[in-house]
Amino acid sequence: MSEKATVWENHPASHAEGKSLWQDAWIRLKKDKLAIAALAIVFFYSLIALSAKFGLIATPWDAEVGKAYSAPSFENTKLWLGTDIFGRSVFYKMLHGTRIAMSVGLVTALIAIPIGVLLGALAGYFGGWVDELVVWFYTTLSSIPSIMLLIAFTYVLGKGIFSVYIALGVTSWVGLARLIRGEFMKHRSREYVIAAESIGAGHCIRIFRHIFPNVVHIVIINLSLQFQIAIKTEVILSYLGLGVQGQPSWGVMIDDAKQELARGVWWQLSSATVAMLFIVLAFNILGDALRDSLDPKLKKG
Amino acid sequence: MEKVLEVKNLVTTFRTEAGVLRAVDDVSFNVYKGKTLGIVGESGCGKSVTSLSIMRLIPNPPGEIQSGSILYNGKDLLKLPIAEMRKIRGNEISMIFQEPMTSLNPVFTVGDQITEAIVLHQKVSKKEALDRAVAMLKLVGIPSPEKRVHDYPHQLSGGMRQRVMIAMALSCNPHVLIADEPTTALDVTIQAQILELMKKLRETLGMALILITHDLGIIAETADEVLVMYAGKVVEQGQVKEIFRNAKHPYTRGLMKSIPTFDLTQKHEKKRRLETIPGIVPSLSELPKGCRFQSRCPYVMDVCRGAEPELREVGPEHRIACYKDL
Repeated sequence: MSEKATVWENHPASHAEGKSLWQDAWIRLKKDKLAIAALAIVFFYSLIALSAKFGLIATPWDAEVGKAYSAPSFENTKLWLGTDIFGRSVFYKMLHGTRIAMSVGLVTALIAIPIGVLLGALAGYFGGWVDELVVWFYTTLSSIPSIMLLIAFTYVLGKGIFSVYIALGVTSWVGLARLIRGEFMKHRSREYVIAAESIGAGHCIRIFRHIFPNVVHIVIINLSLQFQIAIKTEVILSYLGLGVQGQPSWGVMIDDAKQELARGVWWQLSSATVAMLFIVLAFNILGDALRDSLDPKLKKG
Repeated sequence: MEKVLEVKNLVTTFRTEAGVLRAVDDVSFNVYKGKTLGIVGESGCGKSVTSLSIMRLIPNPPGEIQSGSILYNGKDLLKLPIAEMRKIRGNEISMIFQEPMTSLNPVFTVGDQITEAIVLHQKVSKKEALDRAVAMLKLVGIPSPEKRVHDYPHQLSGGMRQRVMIAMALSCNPHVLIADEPTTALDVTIQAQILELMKKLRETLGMALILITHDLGIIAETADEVLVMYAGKVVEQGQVKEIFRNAKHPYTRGLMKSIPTFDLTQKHEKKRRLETIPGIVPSLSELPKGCRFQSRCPYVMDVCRGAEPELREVGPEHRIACYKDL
């Protein structure tokens, strides 16, 4: 054992460096060209959203840049996608719509994920009456048609972007909570958790330090899917006139287009839908790819 | 001999649809410093439940420790508040589980997992804890431990993982180590290495070991005292030499005869068939009146169908729960 072992120990091939879950997932994600393209789109949209937020591009969006309903032309960036009824640049409105969409997606996720994870984890881990209470709570919540609930929320909280954040945030955690609950039920009696208990780890350590990292991939996958649902819902709410007020959102743009189409003004509708199409598609592809690369059950060799 | 752990009249029950089952029924034993107590029995005889009861890791519901006491350093572990119990778990009494493949958390490096046990119980920095983890891995015979601490469980073989589990269990120098079938999932050569390692560590660290197994060979090699369990009860108890030389309970004798032997001198004689104990362990929900072993016992008498036999002295430190004098 002694001499031979030392020789092998020092051989460079004898020890491969261990990779963490994230490194491993990234390596697999990198191989997926489509996923990288989707990631690039998400990154690009985020960049636009941030630039618009800090006034680096497309400011001011509500200035009159030409005649009402002038068709798209290439003489000026502002006129790339034509103008609306007030002669404002549709291109600028679309860029600002991106800002709204991305912020709705992000803030909603930031509200929904902690609620979903916490309630799901508690229900799944403790079981018993805690589980019953949480399940009762979310089944009640999800039994109400979500659009009705959203409308009710925006009426109570008043119209505007904050209501959209809150309404979407507190209604969209149910799916995640359900998934997390199931995973925790599965993991709570796994041997590694009992082993953790046997070295003296309390509930908190077991829930957050031991089990949570084993189910965190679900949160990431859910984040990407939740994001695009939030974007779509914001568009629907704004279209119904319950969403964003006084700011250019894709939903407002599509709403405006109702009257425009009859006059042959197609650019406002098309720019909003195309902008939405790409980001929603990107998030869907990314969600799938993340599942493939993060879910340990789908791992190949 | 210094008594470290004293289990008295332990009763652990499980609530099931068939009623309340006594998985561990009135079990008593002592564990001494630097000695190994072996607990043997078939699957489902209550070996593991006994060990989990000591750690108070019985899932409740459906399980519950009904009565009895587990004295450790004069304290009754069953009466301790859960926060106190957590301080004892892993620090003073630790446990090694049967399945090294699933007992380690797949998303953390083994170093993380060993240091966790240390950081939980002792006021040391992360850095010191990591040094300690490396030292522990070295102690359990893992080559190049400074590199291995950064490995994930999936990079290690079963034997290596079991060594990691042992390192984890021993990282706080416990006084009692409970090993619940520590070698069942491993192949024979690794088994021997792990057992040798545990024996060595028991001597160097001076702890008490409770070894749970269904392999009498392991008991013969490792244990000082043996507890034979059947359907939740202790049926025979004694020093290892005494039990192997002079088993008194029909069940223990049956177990001994069920070990395959390779006797080459019998080559031309009629081939001896391996003896087995007929029948199966009765379900805990349908225990017969009287002795639990009666349906399978070759010496069954009328008295066995009456009251259940109590443990009685049949020799120095040797007790059986049987009416028959074999």
